[in-house]
Parts: sequence; C-alpha cells; structure tokens
Amino acid sequence: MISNKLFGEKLQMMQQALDLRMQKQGLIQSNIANMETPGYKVRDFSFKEALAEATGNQKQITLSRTDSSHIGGLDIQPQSFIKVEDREVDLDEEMLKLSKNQLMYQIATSLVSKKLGGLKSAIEEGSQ
Amino acid sequence: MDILTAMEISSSGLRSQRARLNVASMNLANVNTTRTIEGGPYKAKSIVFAAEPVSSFFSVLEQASSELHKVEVTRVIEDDKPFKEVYDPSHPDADENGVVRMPNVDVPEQMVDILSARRAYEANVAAVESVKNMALRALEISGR
Amino acid sequence: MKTLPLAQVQKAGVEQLQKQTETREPGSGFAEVLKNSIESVNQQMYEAGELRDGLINGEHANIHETMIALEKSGISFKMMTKVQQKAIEAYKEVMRINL
Repeated sequence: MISNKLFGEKLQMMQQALDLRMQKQGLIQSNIANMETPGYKVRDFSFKEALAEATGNQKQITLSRTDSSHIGGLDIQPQSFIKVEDREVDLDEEMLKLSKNQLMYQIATSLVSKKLGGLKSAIEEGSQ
Repeated sequence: MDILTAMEISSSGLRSQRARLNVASMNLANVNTTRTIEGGPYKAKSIVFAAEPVSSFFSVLEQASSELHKVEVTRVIEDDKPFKEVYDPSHPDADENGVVRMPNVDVPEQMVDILSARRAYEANVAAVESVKNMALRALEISGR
Repeated sequence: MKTLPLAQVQKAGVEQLQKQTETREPGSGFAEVLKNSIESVNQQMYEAGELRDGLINGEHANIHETMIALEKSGISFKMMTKVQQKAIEAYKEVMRINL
C-alpha cells in the first residue's frame, strides 16, 4: 500500500523503540517499588538486543491494528528477553536507569516528530 | 506497558512506604507504653512487603507473563523479642520485685527504618514524575 | 492478396481486443491504483480514529502509538489529495493536446 511505502521502516523501528522504552520503564518502576521487598530480584533487559529482535521480526509480522486484542499491544512479546538478575535492587542504579530511560524516550519522541514533519514538508513542497 | 500501569506500580510503592513510616512512627510513639488494652507492654510492630505481579489494565494478552510487579503490605507482625526489664519500683506497672517490663521497641532501628522508608518513598515519587513526563512528551508528537 | 469478408475481420478484431482485456490484470489501470490508495487511506484514518477514541474512552493508554497513527493518517490523506490533484492536472493537459 502507498502508506507503508511512504512511511518506511525507519518510522516503524522508532515506534518499536518507544514501545520498548515504555516496557523498560515499567520494569525500572517495579524495581523501585520493590526495593525493600525481601527476596525480590532486579528485572531488566538489554534495549539493544530487544530492538534488534523486534526489527528483525517485523518483516514476518503483519498486524491489523483494529484487532481488539492488539489495540495498545506490542508487536512482539518482550518477556523472552527480560532477565531476572540474581541481585537485589540497588536504588542508585535504578534512579540512574530511570533518568536515562526517560531521556531516551523523549529523544525518540522528538525524532519521530521531526521525521513526520519532514514527510509533511516534502508533500507540501512537491505541489509547487 | 502504559502510563496507568506505571502509576499503579509506583503508587503501590508510595502506599507501602507510607504504611512502613506509620508503623515505625507508632512504635516510637509507644516506646514507653507499659500498659496496652490487651494488657502488658506494647509490642513493636513491623510490616511485611510482598511483590505482586501486575497485569496491564488493557491488554491481557500482553501481560500474561509480565515481569511487572507492584508491592503490597501483606501483614503487620508483632515482634516477639523479649521485653526490656527495668528496675523502677515507683512505676505504677512495676511488679512485686519493682521490675517494669518496657516495650521491646529498638529506637535506633526505628529511626533507620523511618529514614529508609522516606528515601524509598521519594524514589517512587521520582518514578511517577518520570513516567508522567514521558506521557506529556508523547502527547506532543506531531509533524509540526 | 486475398480479400477477407468484413465480418470476419471485425470478428477477429473484437476477439483480439477481448483477449487483451481479459489477460490484463485487474487493478493495473490508473483508476484502480487511485481507488486502492483511497481505500488504504480510509483504512488508516479509521484505525487512527479507533485508537484516538480508545484513548479518550480510557480503553487503553498508548499515547505515542495513538499520536503517531493520527499523524500518519493525516499525512497519508494529504499525500493522496496531492496525488489526485496531480492526476487531474495531468489529465487536463492531455485533454488540451487532443484539441
């Protein structure tokens, strides 16, 4: 379809990056909430690996967004690479992760806006 | 994962740490309570935290085996450490030997607990702030 | 040169044309392309609308997904509009040539 060719894979990848950042945020917040829970171990995953897997899989997955089970859902299940580490929560480390994850998310949203803006101008300028 | 689930997780942290703060404060307030309603000196209390898996509000499919966890206070337990015995015959609750049994509250321990709880509470506040800012930023996505 | 009866030539011509139209793939005409793009854009706008309503109704809270879908559907619509404009301009040019 025209629309997919217009937007391309880059935008798709950026959206997946945003989804993964939200997932990571959830784990970091879980770690912080449970920092004093006896026996609780840190949960996390490698963002790089997760994104590589997501973009690799994208070629095989075509989802209809109107399928109600997928409204608001992730294209891939990240549970496969979420690791339960063998250590308790280190608050300083989690706070650092929190800041970094938030920053990366905000960078990604800005980049998405720029990309969309670029497409828009390209269409408008092309009509002269 | 979405902002509402994140809020649920961190607010459970806020609630739990506040409960912990309350219990520690109560212990300190009762450090000299030699006579409780049940009879006998005040027993120090402590709370037990447990992690509980969270499912996303929305997509059951997505979160079936999620590693997201909130924290809940499952129990308030009484400390069975022996009471402190102090010799004070003038005390109204002194026994026939003049010994008063004082609450088994360890004051330094409670102080440390309060500081810990506050630190953890503030960390959860930071987490809420963080995801809130992410959501606000997402709302600004546009081609302008 | 052998002269063929007119009816026979006409029949052969009609058959030739019929064969050509049958073997041509449906959807390869320019009108088909435009029609498909309209449907695709409609679909995109519908889905974006669903996401937007879902966000408002509290059925989900996927903000970035919704915002991106809304932007994309708007851009697709703009694109389609421009393409149609261009097609109409080109058609007008062609019509002028014939006169």
